[in-house]
Amino acid sequence: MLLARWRGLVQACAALLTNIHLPNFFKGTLYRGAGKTVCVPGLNCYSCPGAAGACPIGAFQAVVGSSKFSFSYYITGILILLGVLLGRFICGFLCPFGWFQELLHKIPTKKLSTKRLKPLTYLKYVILVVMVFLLPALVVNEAGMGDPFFCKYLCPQGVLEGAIPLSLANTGIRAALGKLFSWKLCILVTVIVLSVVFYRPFCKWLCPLGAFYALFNRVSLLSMHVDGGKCVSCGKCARTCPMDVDVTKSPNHSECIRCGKCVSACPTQAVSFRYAFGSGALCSKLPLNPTTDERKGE
Amino acid sequence: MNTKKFLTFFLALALTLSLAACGSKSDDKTDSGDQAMTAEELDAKIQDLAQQENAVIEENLDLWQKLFTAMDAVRDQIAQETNYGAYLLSGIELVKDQFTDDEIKQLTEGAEKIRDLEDEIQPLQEQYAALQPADSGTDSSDNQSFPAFEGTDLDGNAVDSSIFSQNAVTVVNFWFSGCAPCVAELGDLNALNETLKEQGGAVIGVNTDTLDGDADQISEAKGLLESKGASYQNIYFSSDSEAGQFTASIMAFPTTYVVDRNGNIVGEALLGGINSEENMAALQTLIDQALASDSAN
Repeated sequence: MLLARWRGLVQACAALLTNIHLPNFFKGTLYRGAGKTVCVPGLNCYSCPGAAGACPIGAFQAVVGSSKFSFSYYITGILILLGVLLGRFICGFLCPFGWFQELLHKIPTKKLSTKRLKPLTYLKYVILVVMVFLLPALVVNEAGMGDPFFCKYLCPQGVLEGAIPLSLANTGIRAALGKLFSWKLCILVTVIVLSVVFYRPFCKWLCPLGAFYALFNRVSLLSMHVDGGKCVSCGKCARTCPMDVDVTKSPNHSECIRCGKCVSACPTQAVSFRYAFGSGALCSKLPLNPTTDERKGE
Repeated sequence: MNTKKFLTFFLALALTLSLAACGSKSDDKTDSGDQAMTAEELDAKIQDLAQQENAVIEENLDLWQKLFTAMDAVRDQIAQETNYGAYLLSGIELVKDQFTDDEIKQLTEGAEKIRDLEDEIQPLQEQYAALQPADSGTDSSDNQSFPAFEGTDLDGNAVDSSIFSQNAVTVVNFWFSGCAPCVAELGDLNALNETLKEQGGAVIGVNTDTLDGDADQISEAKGLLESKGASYQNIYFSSDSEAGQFTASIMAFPTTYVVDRNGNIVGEALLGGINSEENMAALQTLIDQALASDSAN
C-alpha cells in the first residue's frame, strides 16, 4: 500500500498544514482569523502559535461549558463526518500529537509491549465522557459557565504546542505560568517518556478524540479488508500491529489507527485498505513488495 | 531511514533545548564603570536596579502599604524631591507618629536603600536617554501610553481617554462574557474599585464582546456584572479605533493594565485573574508605584 509507505511524510505535512502560521512562533502571538472557526481533524491546540484551526476537543468543551449552550452540535457534526469518512485513519496519518509520539518511539531503546495493559484502553472513553462532556457541562459557576476540564487539567498537547512556545516568546504569558502549568508539564514529560518505550501511549489510553473516532471505525467508509481466501493465518499481521489488533479477527477494531503496517507485513497481500460503503467493491490493493517468495518460508 | 534518524535526533535536541530554555537566565552583571555599555545593557541594568527597588518594598508589603496610605493624607506637605527614596524619607518623617520605632527603623532603612538605588539609576537613565534616537517613540514599556479612544460606558455615557486624568491610578481590565476566569474575578475587581476609590483610583472594565456597541452583548455583559455585584464602570469603543486595535492584539483573558494619571501604562500587562494571591500582589505593586509617582509629582 503506497499510502502506508509515505505515512511519515503525510504526518509531517499534516502537522505542518495544521500549524501553518510559522512566523507566530517567533512573535509569540496566535492566528485568530476565520480558520479558527473550523476545527482541524487531529488533536492540535488552538493556542499553538502556528495553529490554522481550532482543536475539536477544545472547541467542544468551550461550547459545552459556555452558559448559552449545553451541547455542541456543530463540532459533533464535524467529528461524526470525519469519523464516517476516515475513522481512526486520522490518528494514524493526520494527528500531530500522534506523529510526535511516533517520532519519540523511534528513539532506539528497549521497547515494551502494551498488550497486557489492554484494560487501560477503555480509560479514554471515560475521559471523553467525563472530562470533555459531563464536567464542563455540569460543574458550572453562578453564570452557568464550566471549565474546559480536559484542556485545563490533562491535555499534554496544550503544554507542548501552546504553553511552551508562547511562554518562550511572550513575557506576559511566561509571568502567568503557575501550578497548572507545572502539573501539565509533568503529564507531558510522562507521556514523552512513556512514548519512547511504548507505542503511542496517549492515543491508546488517554486521547478523547481517538476515543470518539474509535466509535466510528466500524462504520467508517475507510476500512481494512482481509481476503479469507488469501490469508494463510501466519499471524504476522497481529505480531506487527503496534496497536495490539489482530486484523484477521477484527479488521475494523476500535484500536486500529489504519497505519497499514499489517498490509505491508502480510506475505500474501490478503490485507488491504478499502474505501467504500458496506462491502463495496472499491478495493485498493496496490502491491508493496512482491512477496510470493516469502510465502514459502512461512 | 537516515531521515528518520535525523528527525529523531533533531526532535530530541529540540526537546532538550526547549527544556533548557525554561531555566532561569544567569545574570552576568556588567561592570558599572564600563563606559561602552549598549542601550540594551543599560536598560537591563536599570531594570535590574528597579527590580531591587521593588524587592525592598515587596519584602514588607503590608508595612509599606500602611506608609503609602498615611503619606497620601499629607501629600501636599511632603517636600518635592526628585529622588523617590528621598521623597519617601521626608514622607516617613511627617507620618512617623503613626508607626512604632521598629517600623520607622525598617522603613527608613528601606527608603535609604531605595535612595541609593535611585542615585545609581539616575545617571544610567541619562546615558540611556542619550543613546536613544531623539524622536523615536520608544517601545520601552515604562513609558507606553494607553491608546486613545472615544467611547461609551455600558449605561450610555460618553467617555474618552481623558478619563485617566481623573484618577491617580486606573486599573483597566479586559474581559469577555464567555470567559469563565474573567467572570470569576468581577467581584474581586469591584472590591478593588471600592478600595481604590479611597486612594484616588478606579477600575474600568472593557468587555471585548461589546466593542462597537452590540446591544445584545451589552445586555449580557451588564447581566454578568450585576450577578457578580460589580458596579464599576465598563466601557466600549469602536473596534477600528486605536484602542480597538490594541484590544484585538490581546491574546489571553483576563488581561489587566495599570494606567497612571497621564495615561501611561505602568509596568507590564498582568495576565490571568487577580483572584490569585500572586497576581493580586503583582497588581498591588503596580498600583502603589502609580500612586507613589503621582503623589511625587
